[in-house]
Amino acid sequence: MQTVPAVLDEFAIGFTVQRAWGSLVVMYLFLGGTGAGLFLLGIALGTAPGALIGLLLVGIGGLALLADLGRPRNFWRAFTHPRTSWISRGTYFITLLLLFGVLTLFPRLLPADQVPWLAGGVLDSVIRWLALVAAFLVMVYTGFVLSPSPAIPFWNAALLPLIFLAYSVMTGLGILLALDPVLGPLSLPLQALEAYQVALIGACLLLVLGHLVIMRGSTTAARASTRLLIRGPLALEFVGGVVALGLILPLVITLGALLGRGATFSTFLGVAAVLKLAGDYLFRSVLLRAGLYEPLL
Amino acid sequence: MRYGMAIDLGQCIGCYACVIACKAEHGTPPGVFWAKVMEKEVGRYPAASRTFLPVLCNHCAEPLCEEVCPSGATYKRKDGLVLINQEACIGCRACMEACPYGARTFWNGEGTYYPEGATPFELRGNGFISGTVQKCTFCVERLDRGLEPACVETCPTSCRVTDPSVSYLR
Repeated sequence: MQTVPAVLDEFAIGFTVQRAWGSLVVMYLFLGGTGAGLFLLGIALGTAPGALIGLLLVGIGGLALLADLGRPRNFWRAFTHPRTSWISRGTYFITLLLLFGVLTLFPRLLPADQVPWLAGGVLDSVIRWLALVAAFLVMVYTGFVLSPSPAIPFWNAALLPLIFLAYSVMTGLGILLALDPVLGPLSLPLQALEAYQVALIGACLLLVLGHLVIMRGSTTAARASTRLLIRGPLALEFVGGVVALGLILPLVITLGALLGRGATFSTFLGVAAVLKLAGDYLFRSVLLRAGLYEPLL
Repeated sequence: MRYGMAIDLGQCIGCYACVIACKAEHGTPPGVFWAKVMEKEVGRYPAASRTFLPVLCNHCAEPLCEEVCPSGATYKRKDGLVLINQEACIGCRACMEACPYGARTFWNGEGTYYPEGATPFELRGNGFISGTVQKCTFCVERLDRGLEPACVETCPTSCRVTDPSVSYLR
């Protein structure tokens, strides 16, 4: 058990790091969020192969989550309590995304004579909207899984679902921009998408730093979590990986692509996408590892 | 009626009798402690001392562990006891994240008390299902027999109280 020296009250035994959720949950948070973002943007920007990759990522993330369960064969019981449990709600969201996502992709990837409904028809519109709403919910709900419990104050924050949403859309768009030469033309001009990407990276940066600022003024455990990230054992991963390499460098590269222009920038956008993906994974990883319980007394 | 327990922290001498009594009563698997005593050094020599904090499930009035449980495995009885239906537990550990007292432990079915392998006692299983979360049951089976929880009965300083006639428990 990793503990941080205690402060204050003599019965405050010390901050304890949460250790119930580890790398498989990080993997799910990363793949589920990025996959849902990629699917949503893939459909919105008219690239079915991009959306398919997104759906595959969500599926792999779902398998990671399943593997993390103590009793995976009992997973169906997670459908039984959506009234109170965000994990239960999330189980519905993932299932709906995979179901309606596949149905959305059928008329877009298969020959017209093999699918009983047409892309752009009424039925297709209904299915597509259901898939898009489910993708949005998958991006956001994981923030609500972490945030409701005051036991870990660093997670008990209203910004968390917003941060997860911003990261998911940013990495999804980053992959689409990087794969643009392979996937074919998107329904919006690249320059506009790059401008959106710059705004999204900026939003992620502001949200993450805003979260830290709020947490620095919060409870003792939240302050200790912040210290872990800024100058503790996680500082290299957070400051160097998440902020510098995962957000600031991609911001500079994308700004360069936006201002400098030219197709040659696709290589750089590829690098930026990889950096953002690594930064997203690291962010979710350090977020879980910085989860400290409030001292007991 | 709602069960309750008060612990006079000033009376606790850190003997760990409650931890052992709980183990003996329930035969919990290795690494699983329903009752814990946390300790810490306070002060400086020559006035240094150790202070103790017995920890167990608080059977909260509004248990967050119950709220976040996706399978309904954690439930609260009318008498206030928060229990786990192991059959329904999927082992997602959301309840462990939600519990502010660190009162819950995940048991993955691994480990034995002795390096030579599992004893017949462990092989019996004692009703524990691997891959589930474990926690204090307030010795519900003892309560049904009119007995106090094992940790209360064994405490040599009587710092644990469940008797509703005690003023500070009311």
